[in-house]
Amino acid sequence: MSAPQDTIATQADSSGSNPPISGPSWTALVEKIIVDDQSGMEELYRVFSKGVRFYLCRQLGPQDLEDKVHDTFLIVVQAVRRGELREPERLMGFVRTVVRRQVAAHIDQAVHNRRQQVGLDSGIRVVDLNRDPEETAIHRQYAQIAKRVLNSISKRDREILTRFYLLEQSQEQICDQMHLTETQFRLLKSRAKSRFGELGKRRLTRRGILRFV
Amino acid sequence: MQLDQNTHAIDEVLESYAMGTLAEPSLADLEEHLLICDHCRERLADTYAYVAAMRSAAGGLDQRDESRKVLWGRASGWLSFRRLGWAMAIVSLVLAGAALRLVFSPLQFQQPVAILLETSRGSELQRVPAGRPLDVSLDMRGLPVFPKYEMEMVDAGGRVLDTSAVGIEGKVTTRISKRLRPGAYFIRLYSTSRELLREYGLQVE
Repeated sequence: MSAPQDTIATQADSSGSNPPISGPSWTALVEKIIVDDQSGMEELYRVFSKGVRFYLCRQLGPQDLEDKVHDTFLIVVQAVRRGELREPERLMGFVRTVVRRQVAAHIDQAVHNRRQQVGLDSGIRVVDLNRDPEETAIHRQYAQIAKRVLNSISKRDREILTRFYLLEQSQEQICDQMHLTETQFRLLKSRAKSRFGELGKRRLTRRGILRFV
Repeated sequence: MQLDQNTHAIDEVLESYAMGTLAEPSLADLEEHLLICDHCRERLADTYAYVAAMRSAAGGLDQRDESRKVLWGRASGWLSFRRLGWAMAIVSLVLAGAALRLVFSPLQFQQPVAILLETSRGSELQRVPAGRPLDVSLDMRGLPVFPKYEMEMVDAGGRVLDTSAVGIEGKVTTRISKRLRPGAYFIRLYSTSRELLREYGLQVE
């Protein structure tokens, strides 16, 4: 793991590129949940459901996703009602912890089930993380675009990007070994990404499957 | 700077997260923010796609480079310094041999030697160098005139080496291209009715 980022945030604005988030007061929301106010439950679900679904889907795949989201909310609500959330303003962190535990528990369960099924059933059931055909096509398109980007740059620049994305070398290591400044490194990455965006926009718009811009 | 409702994650943080290299406490900040921020989740989804595409493409190119390296490695292994040295030495020898051949085989050795063969009394046996073509002229004095003659060349053992029809308007010349080894040879001249008219001697040295 790399060192924590010094600057991780950029200010939200109303221009549309960085829209502000309309979030509730966590303390008020927690109070509503504690007193079993239905609007509090709805608000909790409205605010967190997409984020929780996104995280769970990334980690565990789309199988039984709605059930997992529902389970997570039940755990959060019950824990809040039991008074386990001592600092209401830390509700986001609390939800995150619950979601991560859920993921860990599902993985543990999957590993356990797999062990139990070995010997009884040769066809072990695993979570299907495969993309659907449309996603597969888009992924292939992206890979082709990335290949074009990599082919259009110098060998040295390609090596830098390969080291970073494929070999997962750190920025410091790459800059040190390839005699680059941090700015040069960032600029190269930024240009490659920008080129990827341009090519992707052009190609995928033409094919009507634009998502990455 | 922490992420809250008024801020969004910068691209590098999202990329680091997508690559699984973001460390705490930035990791916690981002994940909490992602729970409530549609905008950053969309950007993260794009970043996942971008990172996956770059990995896939870089992996493909890397494999291509690897296979090139393997191919070059094999080629360079085969063309090792020692082998290359031997090959150079052989080529040098061949070139040197060709050069020597040119130096020691001047054009004069390839040019025919012109000789006049006579049979008059007291005339000596003609001597010519070995390995050269011969332009032979025959002394026809005293012979009946025919429009054509037949010529036969034999070695000392009487083995026929060459035959040809010669003679135009009383002049008998012929080119013997065969490179003769040292020894005695005889050229016999016949009429068209195979009557032996004369025999000439030739000493190849």
